[in-house]
Parts: sequence; structure tokens; C-alpha cells
Amino acid sequence: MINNFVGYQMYCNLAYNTLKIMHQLDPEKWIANYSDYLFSYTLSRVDDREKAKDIVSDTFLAALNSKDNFKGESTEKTWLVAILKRKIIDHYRKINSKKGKAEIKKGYHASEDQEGDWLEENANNEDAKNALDVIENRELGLAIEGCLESINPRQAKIFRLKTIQNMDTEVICNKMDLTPSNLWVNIHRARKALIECLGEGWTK
Amino acid sequence: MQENNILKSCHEIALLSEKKQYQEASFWERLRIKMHILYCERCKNYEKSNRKLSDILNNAKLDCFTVDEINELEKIIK
Repeated sequence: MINNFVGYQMYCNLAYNTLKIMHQLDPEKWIANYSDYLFSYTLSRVDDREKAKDIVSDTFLAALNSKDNFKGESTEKTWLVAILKRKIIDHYRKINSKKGKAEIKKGYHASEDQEGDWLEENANNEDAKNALDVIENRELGLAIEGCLESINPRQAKIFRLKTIQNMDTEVICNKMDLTPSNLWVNIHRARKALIECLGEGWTK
Repeated sequence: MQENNILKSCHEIALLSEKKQYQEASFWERLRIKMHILYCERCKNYEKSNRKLSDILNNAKLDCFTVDEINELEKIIK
């Protein structure tokens, strides 16, 4: 009985090791495949476009330097996001210096001078009310970026140029070697795929 | 539903609907959409979803690297 059990365990381990998919890194394609997702991810956590750009480039550099440590157990994207998370934490550690703390304290003491209840006063604060919307919209941005990754790359690129970068139809047509009607077909396919991908929760 | 099975006129209306979302549809094109969705439930639903998607895209904090920024990033990494 015990022998059977040990044998079964060994069989399971062997099957697991055989079936385990070993992922490979392809640094040449990192920028094309993941830069927009990583950028959106960073922007949803760091409210500064320039800082977000720096963090993404630092992430790629760190990933290149430690690519030999990649074991292949996770996907390339998961691995890059893990590095990015570290970089974002480092960013907040850096700005949470003594100077940063002093600035926060200064703001807090300023509100003490006011009469009345702090909570009541801040409950009516428009900025605080909008904060939830901001968080929700950033999460939405990330969801859209995730969906764009799953659709045809050319359609996603045309959609990004038109919708996110607000480029003129004519400029995109010249750049991508398209006729205007082809451009709208591509935009239509991308938008249709987005509606399907985002699902009923967002679009109904 | 497969795109092949959709009527040609519906496909054209879908493309016009896309143009409308980017304020690039002419008056006559917008009128054509309105007339069509009076009797076509499928296009009416698509137009509604498309409008909703535009609202979502406007609200979401969407940003991406520009072509120049991508080139810059490629230089840094190489």
C-alpha cells in the first residue's frame, strides 16, 4: 500500500516536471509587447507621467541585467511586472524621505487651525470624493490595456494611435500605409473586440 | 456572430458609427446611422455599446508611449 502511494507520488512528480512549461525570455520583443501595459500599470500607481516613464525604463534595464536569473516558471510578463512592482516600491521609498514627511505634516497641521470636526470638513472635500473615481478610472485603464494586448497587434496599434494619441486619420493612414476605409475597418475590429473583452460589466 | 454573416449595410453602419465616435462622421453619415437604427435592432445595440465604450475611454486614464518615446526607450535598453 505504502509502496503504491510512494510510486504514485513519484509518478505525479515526473508527470508534473514533464508537463511543466518552461517560459523563455525574448528581450528584443519586450518594448513592443509589454511597454504599454507596464506604462499603464505604473501610471495607475504613480501619478506622474515622466516618473512612470523612468520607472518603466529602469524596469527593462533591471530585467536585462537579471535575465540569467529567470527560471522560466512564470511568464515573461509576470516576471516583468514583478520587477516593476519592486521599482514602484523603490520609488515610494525614495520620495518618502524626511523632506516628504515634513510636507505631509505641514498640511496636517494646517487643517488643525480650522474649527470644527476634521472628518466632517474632509467628507465634503471634492478632491476626496473624486479620488475613488480616479482609482476606478485607472483600474479601467489597466483593464483596457489588458484587453488591447489580447487583440490583433496591428489593430491595437492603430486603435492606440487614433484613440489614445489622438492622431489624425490622414497621418495614421500615411504612417501605417492604409486607406481611410481600411483604417475604419481596423478601428471597428479593435473597438468590437474591446467591447467583447471588457464585458457587460463595463459597457452596459 | 461572424462578420461575414452581417448584412453589408449593417457593416457600413458600424464603420460610420466608428467615425461618429471620433467626430469624423458628416451630417449625412450621422443621419444615415439614425435612419438605419430605427429598424435595425442589432445596429442600435452596437451603436449604444459603442457610445458607452467612448464614454469609458474618455473617463479612463489612458496613456501610452509616443513613437519618439519608444525610440528613446529602445536606445536606452540597447
